[in-house]
Amino acid sequence: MTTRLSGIEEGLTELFRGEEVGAAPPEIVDAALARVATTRQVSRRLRLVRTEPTGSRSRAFALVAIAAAIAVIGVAIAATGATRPDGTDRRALPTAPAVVQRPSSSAIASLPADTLRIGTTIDLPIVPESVVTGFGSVWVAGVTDEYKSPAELLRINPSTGDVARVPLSFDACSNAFDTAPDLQVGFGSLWLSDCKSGAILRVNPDTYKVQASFSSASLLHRSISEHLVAFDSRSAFVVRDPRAGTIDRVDPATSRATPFVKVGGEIVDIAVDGSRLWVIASSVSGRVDGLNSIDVIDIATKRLTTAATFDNAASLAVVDRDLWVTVGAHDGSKILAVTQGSSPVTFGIGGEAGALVYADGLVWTTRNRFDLVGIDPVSRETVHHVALEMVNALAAGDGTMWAVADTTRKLFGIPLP
Amino acid sequence: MIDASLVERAARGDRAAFDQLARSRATTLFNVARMILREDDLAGDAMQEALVRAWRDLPMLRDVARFDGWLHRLLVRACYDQARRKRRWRFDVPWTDVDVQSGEDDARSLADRDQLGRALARLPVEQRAVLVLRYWLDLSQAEIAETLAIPVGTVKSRANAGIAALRAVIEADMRLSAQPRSRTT
Repeated sequence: MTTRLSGIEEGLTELFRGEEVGAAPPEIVDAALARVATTRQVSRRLRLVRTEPTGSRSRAFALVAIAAAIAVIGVAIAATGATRPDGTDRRALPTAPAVVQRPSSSAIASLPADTLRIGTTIDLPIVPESVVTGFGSVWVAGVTDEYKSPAELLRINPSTGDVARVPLSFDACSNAFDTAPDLQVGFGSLWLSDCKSGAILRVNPDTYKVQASFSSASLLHRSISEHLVAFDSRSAFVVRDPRAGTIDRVDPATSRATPFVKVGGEIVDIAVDGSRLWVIASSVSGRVDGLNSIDVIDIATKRLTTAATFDNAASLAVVDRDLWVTVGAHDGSKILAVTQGSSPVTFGIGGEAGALVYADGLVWTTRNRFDLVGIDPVSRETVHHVALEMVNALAAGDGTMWAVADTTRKLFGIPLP
Repeated sequence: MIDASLVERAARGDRAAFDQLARSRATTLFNVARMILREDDLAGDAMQEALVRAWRDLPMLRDVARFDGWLHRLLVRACYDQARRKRRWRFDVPWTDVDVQSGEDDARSLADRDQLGRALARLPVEQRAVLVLRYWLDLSQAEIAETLAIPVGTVKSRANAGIAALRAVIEADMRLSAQPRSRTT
């Protein structure tokens, strides 16, 4: 290790020292302290239940584990003096985001009153990155530490709010601020990306055993893919190598994979609309912010057609036979609706759109990660919304939209109208 | 200098004590966030989030002497969150294999401030964070490792990767800017 600063290091030192050191804007400090005034201090009280796989003989062991966990948490609270002076120990949800309004592109637009309400709020013991519903549960994948890649899968009982850690060892891709683990439900299994083994795992939701593993070399490195698995009524389509643009078709009965198609670029997202496989492919490896192609592959003939190219095309949702895609610059995302028999339409939603989810006749997404919006696919009007905070993934199931917030480590359940 | 009693009072729920702590740290926090995020609006939001989280989680801080390092950790995480909001910022800089230790570069000719600032903005946010903590806050590698809760080896690799990427970007820019001149002469 040299002790001499390199040219770049000297340049950085000069750059930072030369930058004007400005006082923190007082209105932002005041806004922060106003939020502090409505925020209660933490005292960890998480309902953690370490479950055994279905069929395990040891329910009693689970109860002992619960008791032990409660005891450990209690001791931790006592040791850290975390109980508030007023004796309360409940970790409160911060009130609605009080980000200072500014006339900038990143400002949060003022909104009319919420049309939806948050029905359930559950504290999570991990930084949640992905969420999906299935088998009577809400499943959340994420990391325990934002700086590390070992990941965890949680199974949450939506009725009781009990959070169970699934005994499955896998890694997120790089770490939480790069790529979320892809987590999906199909053909009676969970499908999960694992960057430790560099594979898509098919997992039995009852035993938590890995039923099949589909190696995906570039998963060992950084992946920009939003989704790596999609399903039609007969097959699973698994991205075999995101960087190489290859997709396999998997027979769900045997888990046998056969090469299906190769697209011209790194795969950003995939979705199936019944008879067609849609793929967003990036022309520049490792980047989602370039000119990305939206390809459609006829599943029967494997014929590939590039339907469109758009800047920043990032997330797909199939709405009946229509396709919706988030496109546009990061500070003014638009949604593209590719409809049957008419020209594609793009429209803005007043902020950056997150992933798209179709549920109960509406297209749902997040706007600037600060509110959940439901869009009428015909009128393209935002007909429902509710203020949330730093939501990064959505999943719909049983009349509820589930949203995870990585910053606050929470799962929100919003009853759908 | 950490006023331990102030931190302890704030940890016990004394908002006035926390206000005092927050106001005394705000300028440093804001400027660190600005240098990491390269945008004032985002830096303000990151600072705001860090302060709110600091208040919320302060009872969990076991060693008041580590308050500032802990606060910087919260700030850097808040910066990551802001960068995530704008995840399409994320650039993968095309690599060229450059030996960080090689003395070939001419420091002053390479390190044009504007050029370096633009190149810095293209780095992944986690590399930018390490470089800001190292070259603006003057933290040692060990201190950065403690602040970010990562191994020293990871600090070194992020710093080296960041510097190598900066050099690659700058050299690429220089090659591009040199091309028209070579054609006209």
